[in-house]
Amino acid sequence: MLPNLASTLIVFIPLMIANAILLEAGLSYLGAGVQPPNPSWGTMIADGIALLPSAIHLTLVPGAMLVLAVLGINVFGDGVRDALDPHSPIRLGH
Amino acid sequence: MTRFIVRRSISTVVVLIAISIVTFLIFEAIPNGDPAARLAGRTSTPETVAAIRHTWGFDKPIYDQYLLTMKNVFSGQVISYTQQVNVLDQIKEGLPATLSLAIGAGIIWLVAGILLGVIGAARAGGFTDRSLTALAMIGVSTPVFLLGALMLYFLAYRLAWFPNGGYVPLTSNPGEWLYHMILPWLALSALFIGIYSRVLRSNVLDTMNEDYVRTARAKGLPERRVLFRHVLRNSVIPIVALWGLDFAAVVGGGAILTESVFNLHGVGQYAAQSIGALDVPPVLVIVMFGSFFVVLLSAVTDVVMALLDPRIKLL
Repeated sequence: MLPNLASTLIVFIPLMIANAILLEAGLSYLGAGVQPPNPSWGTMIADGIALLPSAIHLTLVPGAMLVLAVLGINVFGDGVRDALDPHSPIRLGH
Repeated sequence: MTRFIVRRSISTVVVLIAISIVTFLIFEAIPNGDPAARLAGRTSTPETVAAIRHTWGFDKPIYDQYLLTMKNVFSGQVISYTQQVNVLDQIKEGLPATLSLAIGAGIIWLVAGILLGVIGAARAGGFTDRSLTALAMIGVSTPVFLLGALMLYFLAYRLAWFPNGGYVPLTSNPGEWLYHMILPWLALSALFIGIYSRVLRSNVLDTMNEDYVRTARAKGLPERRVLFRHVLRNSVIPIVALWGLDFAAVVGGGAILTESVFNLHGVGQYAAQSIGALDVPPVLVIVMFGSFFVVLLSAVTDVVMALLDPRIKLL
């Protein structure tokens, strides 16, 4: 069973990592994430949003880093899925 | 059908009890979570804290506290620790904003997701498909509060095309309501459009390989008819299931970030404020309300799926 499950699990891992990063950012925005003085991209974005009109780079730079990191992991996960399933995904009744 | 309803009702009760216990215990485990100290305020003496602890029942064993809170929840008497107002009234107040957000965004992401998914599948491998995939990936990878904040900054603050957050009830001014809801709808939809269009695209491509689609083509049906009548009808079924659950989650306070960014004063924002203040009763009630909605809509979704696909049996 495990060899057949492996591809599903491997595809799932990057998605979970990407989701975890987004979740941490969301929690930090609500003030329930990583607490200062420990830094996190989510906290940096959340702090920057309060200062958007005067210093937009405080939001844009950590925001771009976060989006790029999550995007990178998602694209990687997509690539892994295509690599493991060269034809089409599992179909019912086949 | 009767068996289905009975089974689902029993599992709903079990789920709600389990979720309420877990939520209650999480707050018990949070450091500095003693509600008596916060209720007493900054200039409190140990005596007043002890008195408050006694009157609110915080000195009782945790299971007693839990049972008391649940009794209050079901008699509609549950009071928040910080503002000391009726939690159910607060949720009722926030519900119109949350429902406006959920229904509007739900329609947008369902229609746009299906549309973009079909376009992507019909043009699979081409430039349009690749661009849509890239856009969907970016949509899925962007935190909703970042997207919302940037939308507010550029479209509302700099260009003044849209109002700077807030909610206007539909009943008091439908035009202003729509004007205030457009940005929150778009911000919340972006993520879901990305997911739905990707899921539908791969479903459509899978269904294209089915035997009955080959049969339909062999009968000489036009490609458009094959796509809409035979392929799309079957590909949309998992989307319906997904939509039911996502919509329920948004109604049950799942749009906590969107509501906070756009200051909509909905159920989600109430949840955010209560979490920030470590206020157990509102969080408990909102979590239970949200889970109830998710369980309810998942049952409705199962019925809808069984109607759409005769192969699916209700258990």
